[in-house]
Amino acid sequence: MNQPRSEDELRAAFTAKATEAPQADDVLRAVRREVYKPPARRRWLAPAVAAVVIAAIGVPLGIAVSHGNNTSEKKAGNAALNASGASSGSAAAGAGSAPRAESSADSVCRPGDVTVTVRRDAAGVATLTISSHGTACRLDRVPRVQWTDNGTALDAQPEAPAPGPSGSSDSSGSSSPSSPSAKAADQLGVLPAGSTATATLRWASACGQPAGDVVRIDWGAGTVEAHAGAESHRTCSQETNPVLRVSAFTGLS
Amino acid sequence: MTFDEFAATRLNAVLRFAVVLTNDRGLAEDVVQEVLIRAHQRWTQIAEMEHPEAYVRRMVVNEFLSWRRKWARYVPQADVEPDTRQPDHAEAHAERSALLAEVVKLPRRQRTVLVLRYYEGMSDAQIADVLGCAETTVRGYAFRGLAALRIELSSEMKEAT
Repeated sequence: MNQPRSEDELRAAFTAKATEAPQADDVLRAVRREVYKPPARRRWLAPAVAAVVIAAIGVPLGIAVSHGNNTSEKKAGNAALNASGASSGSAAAGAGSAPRAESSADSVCRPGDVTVTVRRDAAGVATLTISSHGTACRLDRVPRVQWTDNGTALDAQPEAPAPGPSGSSDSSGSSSPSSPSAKAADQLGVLPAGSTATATLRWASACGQPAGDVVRIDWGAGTVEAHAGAESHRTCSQETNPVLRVSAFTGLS
Repeated sequence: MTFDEFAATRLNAVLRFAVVLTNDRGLAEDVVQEVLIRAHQRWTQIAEMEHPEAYVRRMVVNEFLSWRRKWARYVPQADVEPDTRQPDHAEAHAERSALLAEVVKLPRRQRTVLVLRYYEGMSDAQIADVLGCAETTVRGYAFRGLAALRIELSSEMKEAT
């Protein structure tokens, strides 16, 4: 057992072991299967993994950021509401959907930049309030307003021509409808940052206030819908010529 | 020489070398397969070499030397084959098996040096080139490996060492 061995014995042992080698064809088949495997799976795998990772990180992040913006806008809107005394019937269509960083005193206020409320009193007068969230922007001095009453949408007529930049309204009484298309520079007023502009909606009717509470307002950035609070009870069912008048905004510079 | 030409003419020799080196048929198959997949990816460079087979053999050695790291979970299966040899060969076969079992116990580098020297017939200088070490280091590995296997050097080898 402890006898010394020779180098030839080692050579013989190695040579004998070599006969146990596997068939080259088997190995080559496995190699070819691996080498010529269609790369399609790998080609889409990396982008798919990247997309999943981006979605897993980006979506919650986007939601968190969006939620943060909405919360701050709501806080700003509530603060403006409290300051102006408005307490009901507020609506701000599209609030929070537009980035406010791009807004400036040169651009028309977007729905997300402001809070819109309509409040009506028992005397048939409603107050339209637009509060800035903190960035100055522009409004039509006389907004276009549409109020639905018993299924009929009635366009408001301006009480008076749009006032100048001083903010004072001309009360001469001419009542031409506001032009939706032409928008000269002097038709737009600046709503200062954090301030509030108000306009009055007067419903001249023998039957009392309109039955509906949906009011559509357009100050130059598209139609925004607001609710005027509790619906009123009309004293008569049909009326021939109800008239809704809207004043110019006060509070614009 | 294309990859397919190499595989057709030289793969059997590489596989035999891998079996002797690893002393395990399954492991040899896996090692060679890994090496061939990598070699195929850059065969254009390998084909331009003077001895593509030597390069592939070196890749097999490197793969084997790193197998403890890469193949840590690999549990070699006992390669037991029914002994169909004649009774008069039984003693020689047992002695060969015992010798190979002792070779397997050697450190990997010592084992590699012995396989390259006694199976591949390489000189110490060639072995040093494959392993990337000095010739004296190769001789040291060989000396310690042979001593552990109780192999007496021939007189020529004694002089060389």
